[in-house]
Amino acid sequence: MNSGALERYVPGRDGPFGFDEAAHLARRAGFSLAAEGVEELARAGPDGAVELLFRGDEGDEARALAAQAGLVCELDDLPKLQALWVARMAATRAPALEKLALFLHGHFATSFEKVKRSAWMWQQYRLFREQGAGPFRELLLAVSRDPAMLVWLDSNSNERGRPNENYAREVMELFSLGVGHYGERDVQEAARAFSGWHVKDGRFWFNPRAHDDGEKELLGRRGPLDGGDVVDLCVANRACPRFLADKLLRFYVAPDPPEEWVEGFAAVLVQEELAIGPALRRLFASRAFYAGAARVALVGSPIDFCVGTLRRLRGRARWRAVAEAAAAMGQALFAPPNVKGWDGDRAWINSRTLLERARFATGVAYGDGSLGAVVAWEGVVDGRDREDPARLVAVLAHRLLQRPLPAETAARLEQYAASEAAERGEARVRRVAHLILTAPEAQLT
Amino acid sequence: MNSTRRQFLSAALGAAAVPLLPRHSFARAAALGPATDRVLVLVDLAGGNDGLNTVVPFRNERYQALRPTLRLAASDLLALDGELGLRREMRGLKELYDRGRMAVVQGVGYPGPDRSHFRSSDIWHTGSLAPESATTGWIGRLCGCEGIAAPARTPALMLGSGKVPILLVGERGPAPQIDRIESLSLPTGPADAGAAARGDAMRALARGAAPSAPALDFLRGTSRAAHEAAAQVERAAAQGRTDSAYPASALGSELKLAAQLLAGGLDCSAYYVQQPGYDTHAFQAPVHALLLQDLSDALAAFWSDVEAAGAAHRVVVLVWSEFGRRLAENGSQGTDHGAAAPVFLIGGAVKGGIVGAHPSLEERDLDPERDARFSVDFRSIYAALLEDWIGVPARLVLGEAPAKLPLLRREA
Repeated sequence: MNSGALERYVPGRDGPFGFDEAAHLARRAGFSLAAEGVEELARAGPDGAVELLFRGDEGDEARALAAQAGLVCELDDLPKLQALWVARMAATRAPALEKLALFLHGHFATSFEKVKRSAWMWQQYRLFREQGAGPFRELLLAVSRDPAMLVWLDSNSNERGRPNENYAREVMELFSLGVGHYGERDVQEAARAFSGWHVKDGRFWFNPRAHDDGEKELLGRRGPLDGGDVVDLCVANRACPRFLADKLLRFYVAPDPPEEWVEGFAAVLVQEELAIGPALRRLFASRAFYAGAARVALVGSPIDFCVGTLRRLRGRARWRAVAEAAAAMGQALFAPPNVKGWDGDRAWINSRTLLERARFATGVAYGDGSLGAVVAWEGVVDGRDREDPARLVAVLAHRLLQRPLPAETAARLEQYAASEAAERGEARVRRVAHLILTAPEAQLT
Repeated sequence: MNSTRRQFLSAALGAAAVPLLPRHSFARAAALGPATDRVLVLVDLAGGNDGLNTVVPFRNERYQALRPTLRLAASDLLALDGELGLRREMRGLKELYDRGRMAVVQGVGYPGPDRSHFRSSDIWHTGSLAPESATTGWIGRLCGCEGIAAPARTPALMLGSGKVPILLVGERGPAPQIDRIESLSLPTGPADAGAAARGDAMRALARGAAPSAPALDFLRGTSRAAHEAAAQVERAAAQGRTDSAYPASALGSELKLAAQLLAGGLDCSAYYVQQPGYDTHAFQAPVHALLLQDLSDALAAFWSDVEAAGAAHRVVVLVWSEFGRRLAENGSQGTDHGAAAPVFLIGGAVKGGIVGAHPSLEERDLDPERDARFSVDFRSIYAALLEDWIGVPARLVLGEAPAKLPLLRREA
């Protein structure tokens, strides 16, 4: 049974499906596309557009980057690892799967700072990239056996008779159920169930001597339960689809999703047997997704801001510097601040991170500094559109943000563009671009 | 009532609210010397500090039994009295204690202890046992962190580059944050003749007059706060100086910056720093020792600079953690999440000494999780700071609150 909000969005009946809607989809489901790509999505309609974003072939450049991963992984150098992922995001032609990998990375937040091995962090990322769209049960089981996760949450210290509760607690609190849907006893029993799930020589190793195979009781089931049983019980628990629905809605759709949307999307997840890919496809083609409350409603993450801006401009930069900029804005890839990941939305914004975004904007607009940004500004705004301040602001807003600016903001920018300090020609294009990117409006997605 | 005190309160309570304050708070203010703003320095030990191995009941046999590998002996400690010791890495704090500047409040927690880092932190930060329904923190409410700094004022400031916690979120947004002085200058692009005009345009874009969607209002407000804080902090940093030697750690540099801004006259009522790393599930001993050494050295240096700036009477430092750790150690020579733990207060206005008894370690006295029961509700500490020192009724900031503890002196 579907709530109306999760029903298919039908252009005409429910609203338009033009450039604005396609740009919204591209931004949220992926990392944006340049204008021509958005126009292609618009022509394809809501369902066709979702297909394009999910099914796009990885592309040669992304494949080449994946080949580089082997070299990068030998170095245990976090900045290089971060740069590699940023480069993949910038180049990807399968943006929906890449963005889902980013979501899952935040969901199962594991940090290089403790794992210390690029190969293991990259392997975890590949797990998200390749299995993220599949059934959540398989994913959670795979994560419970993932070497990076095992190190991150002290699984090697979890032994029969001397349990370590770290993973058991987080698998319930943060990965599947949420606070309030399990008790302290469940955590303790789950720790016993996961005992002996160790890592050795970089792979999952079940250590039978460390495993407590005794009778346990958790989440209403009794028996000689092991880690696989804990995963099954968590995923089968009524709280799980709701927990996932709420998190996914907050990441992809709106900061405070109404109850109707959470229930509706939880129902969709259940119908899709908790397979996230199929559930997201339905979400991206739903009425809720295109509702007013979902439009320009989320604060873009640092990656949304940095990678999205460059993709919309078909620009390039030193990917390592882009990763550093995102880290300075609060999103250090492969190194989330703690196991809860990133709260997102308004939590991205404080006085310091806003200034970092302004710093990035400077790098993109002027091409200076360590960012090394390369943007073909002459192609972004051509001759005639450059002359008139109002036209210049409108075209730049369309290119940079892919949506119109509020009238008041546009007026202030036009005022600046008409002033002497703004100079003329390409210099003015860059200056106005800089201001647009630092404006409060540009931080929304 | 002096004008600076009025600023503090009206920023906190909103121009519309006219609270009725008891007259004796004015008398107390006068008695505390020259009228200047009170400052709270908040030090958050993130991860759950093992209180049992910080303020140690070293003679207690149960302690020794609970901590076979982690227990500390008299030789590892600096005795506070016959029964309790601070670990010897905390020499700086012990000196403050000996001079009567530090209170050690034992057994601090709240009913129904939560062992999730995030939820328990939220409880301490919001001052509410139901943090899910809170959108602001107690400091955000107290200092009126509005995302809009009042003229010449930065109500609260976070030092460091971590996430700004809900503690510092007020009605209209989070307090500003700084990790280095340089990071607050507005990036206006190339250093050419047009830079000033671009700076003006950037500030103008944050001032949008028309009311708009909440998300955009929030962004504009925080932008304005960023611009204001940048200007004020630059001024204060240029004027302030510090002389103490701080440890070469993030905490050291953050507290040094706080001392510099305080000495430089920044009009700010609350400084917040966080020291992460206390979540010691495995091989606790070396990590915990280093953390507490860093904490003690940094706070001792900070207090020394505060005294040199003549501000000791108007600054109180509050040190807490979101929970303690389990009394029994785990199988990895570490400890898992626990409950009640000690809190430290440092300040010229603080009554030094040990407050309350150490939580009983006897089996029959433990909570259902076999952890220490709390005897002091943390909100009674907040209430003491609010009412006896700042002069604001606790219920205005905390809603329902337990009775305040007598932690502050009546005279300087």
